[in-house]
Amino acid sequence: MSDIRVLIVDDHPITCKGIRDLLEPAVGISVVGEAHSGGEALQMIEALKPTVVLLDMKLPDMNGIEIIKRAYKAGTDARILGLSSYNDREFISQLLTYGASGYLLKDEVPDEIINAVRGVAHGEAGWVSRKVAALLSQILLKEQEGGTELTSRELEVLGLVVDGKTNNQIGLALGISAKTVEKHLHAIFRKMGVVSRVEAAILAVQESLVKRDLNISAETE
Amino acid sequence: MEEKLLLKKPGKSIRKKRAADTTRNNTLLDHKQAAHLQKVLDAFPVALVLVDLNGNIQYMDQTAKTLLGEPDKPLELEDWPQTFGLYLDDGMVLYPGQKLPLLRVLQGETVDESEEIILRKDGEERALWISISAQALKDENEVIEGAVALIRDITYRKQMELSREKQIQRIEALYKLSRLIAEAGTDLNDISNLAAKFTSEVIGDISVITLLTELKDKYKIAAFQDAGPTGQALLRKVLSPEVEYDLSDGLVGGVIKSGEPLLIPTIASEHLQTISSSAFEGLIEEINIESALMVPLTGRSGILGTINLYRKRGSNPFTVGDQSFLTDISYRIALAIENCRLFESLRTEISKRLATKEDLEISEERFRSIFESVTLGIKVLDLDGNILQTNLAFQEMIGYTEDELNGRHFSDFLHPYDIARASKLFHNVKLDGVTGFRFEHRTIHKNQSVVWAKTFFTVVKKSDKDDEPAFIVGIVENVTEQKRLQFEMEELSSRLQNSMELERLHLAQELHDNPMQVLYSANYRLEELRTKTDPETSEALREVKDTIQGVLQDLRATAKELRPPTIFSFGLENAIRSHAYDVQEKHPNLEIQLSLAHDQQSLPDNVRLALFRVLQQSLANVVRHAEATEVRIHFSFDAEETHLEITDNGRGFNVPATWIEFVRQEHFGLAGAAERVNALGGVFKVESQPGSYTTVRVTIPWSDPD
Repeated sequence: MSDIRVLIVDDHPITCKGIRDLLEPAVGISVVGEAHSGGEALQMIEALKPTVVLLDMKLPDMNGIEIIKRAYKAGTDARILGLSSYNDREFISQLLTYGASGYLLKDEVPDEIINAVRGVAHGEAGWVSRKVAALLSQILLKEQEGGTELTSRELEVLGLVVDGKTNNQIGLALGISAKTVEKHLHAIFRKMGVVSRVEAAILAVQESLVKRDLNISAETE
Repeated sequence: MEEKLLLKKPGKSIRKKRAADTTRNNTLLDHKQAAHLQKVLDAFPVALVLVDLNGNIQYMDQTAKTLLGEPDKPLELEDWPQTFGLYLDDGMVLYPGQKLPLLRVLQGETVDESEEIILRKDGEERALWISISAQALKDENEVIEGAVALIRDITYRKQMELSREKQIQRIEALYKLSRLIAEAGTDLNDISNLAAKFTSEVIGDISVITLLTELKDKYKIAAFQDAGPTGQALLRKVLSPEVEYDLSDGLVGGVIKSGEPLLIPTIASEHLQTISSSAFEGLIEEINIESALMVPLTGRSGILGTINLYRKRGSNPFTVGDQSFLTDISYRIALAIENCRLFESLRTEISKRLATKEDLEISEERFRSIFESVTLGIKVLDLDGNILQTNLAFQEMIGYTEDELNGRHFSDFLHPYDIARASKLFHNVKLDGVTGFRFEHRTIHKNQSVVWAKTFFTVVKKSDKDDEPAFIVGIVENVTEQKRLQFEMEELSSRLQNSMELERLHLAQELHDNPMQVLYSANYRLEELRTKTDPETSEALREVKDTIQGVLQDLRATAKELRPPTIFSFGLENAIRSHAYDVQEKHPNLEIQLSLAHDQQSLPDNVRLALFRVLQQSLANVVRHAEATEVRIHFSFDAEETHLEITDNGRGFNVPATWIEFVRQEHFGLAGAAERVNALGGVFKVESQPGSYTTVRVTIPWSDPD
């Protein structure tokens, strides 16, 4: 079986060296390179084709998420193991959603790094240490999906749509630019789950979001 | 079995220690394998002190030695304050030894928050602010073996906080003064009393206002105030308001003649008599005065009088800062006094003019002269608001000639935004018989620039016997300059705010980049050494590693507080959620409900950060003061505005009317958050019902840059 090829990405040479020293004695793992910036990392992922990338989430030129997105876009099949000092559950779960194969706290490196590298190399998805797993499975807060209700301004815009006003007319009436009206409409459509102003107007009247009789013959663009 | 007393403290539990452990305990850091670790720790910018179970210092890094000094003999923990010079925040009282975080963690307490302490070494003038946090070191059986303290020099941060606090208090005080003056009306006595009371309260202790007499050759005492309880009665006894004093008499006369302020920080007792004048003789004799500050009241027409402040012996002397603050105050008071006098003379003249026809000619002439000589703008309107007459000052203020103004409606020259309010107020005068109203508004100059004005409209009756209104006089003060200053002050404090934010980000970055990285690699190195050494050494190294781990956790929490990691990478809603989790973890009995919109990474960083700080502050207040069982957090936004609302069902409080009250009640964080919101053009509102709920509601406008 061939070795697991590891690329270490961290802007602190001293940390890179520390990680390398921990990994090198392990059987079946070889460190193929060290990158100290995001740009360098992307080049080396392309050139060295590592099995596993140990990625520090905070680099001087770009943040870790950006690197993950770009690396996947460039078609890499390397597994990315995020490395950071934050034990913040949102930070970690977001990172995993963005496609990282695993996450390791920097303090856990001495004890867990070899397990983690082997784990993600063997295809484990969402590899996290037991400590982090415990953190992620903590009690959930009561939460309802927010931002789905229309704001008062959006209701105003919707009302004018029902009146059959154009974007320019709405903008004039509310003292905002037509471009801002466009943005409001975009958000309104998304929240209401519709794709056009006619649909939005019909739904608005049906659900009594605005109190008016729908005038179908009104101009609809 | 060997017994060890943790501390010589009666009533506290005595901890037993296994004999085998004690030897190792004393040699915690003596291994040569750990020697390089010492070097690493010495380079670390935060001071570290390691103590054993008895509180004896086992190790101090270089930073700690420089900061605290190295004790020359073994030291009990309780003697730290004495030896190192640790004081409470007044800088005078020694810090109580039992409160030291190190001592508390050794007794098994968990100390989450760091203590802020003043450090002043023997014979040194300069004091430093330090923060001390501590963590217990435990063996595998959770038995405490010692503790590590982390000490930071926070002097710079503290200085920033203090100067910022002072500045905000001053800005708030000046706003408050402007409002008080506006409410006080046009009675000269009211204004003088207000001036004495306000300055005595805000700067202290004794305030005496003097005013020049009409001929400007003598002065009188117009008002006085002593913040002390017995003071007022005493002042009434020793000061004589009826007497007119000569300008050559004493220091007050000198201030009036020169127009320059006078600051005497400390007056030696034997010199008291030399500063005395006949006006203040009684005061000086009765009260042992230490420090005096006198500032002229300078109006548009020249010197009007003085504000004199005195402090009794034993209090803090006046400073240059007090002088500039009092000068700001005196400028506003002088304008108010001038306005009062102008009203008074106009009122007399107008009623005379209308009442006594035979004196008309003389009166006409005098009226004319007042009308044209004053530097305040005057407009005379008929009852419909049409301009009948204006003076030169008003014409110059808005750039039109008398002919261009006469016959036009007064609102033709107002800013469109202010017309509706003006018409409404004007209407009330006719309908409800209001005798006058004050109105701050914008006027459009002939060259189209905006002039900020404060106008006092007053209704002039037909005669003393006839209450029917005859016409309306508007006295207009140009406050454009004041407005500009006000805007500048607001901008200044927002810039200060931003620089603090930058400082925090910088500090977080610094922590993350240097000390934390160095500690991580030290830990990695230790782990590597551990595999190459004998079991006993390996065990000792593990403990060192755990110590470092503890320090790292501490640093991480600090860095997170300074710069939430989630906010810039994953959006505000994730940062809010994450913070809510942290709070929930520490306060399991508080039910937190979230309703959060996805910010989709579109909101600008400064808006996110401002909203996040509001959240941090509000939740901190809920936990600290509210005694709530439930808190709801709602975040939403549309293409124009972002909204954040935090509501708790706690005990609520009476929401102060002004921000200075917030600051006084030590809701300082909230005041700061509000200011940050205002700086972004947002609105910050607190609503509360004692015994029921508190809601913090914030709206910040935003726009997409593209």
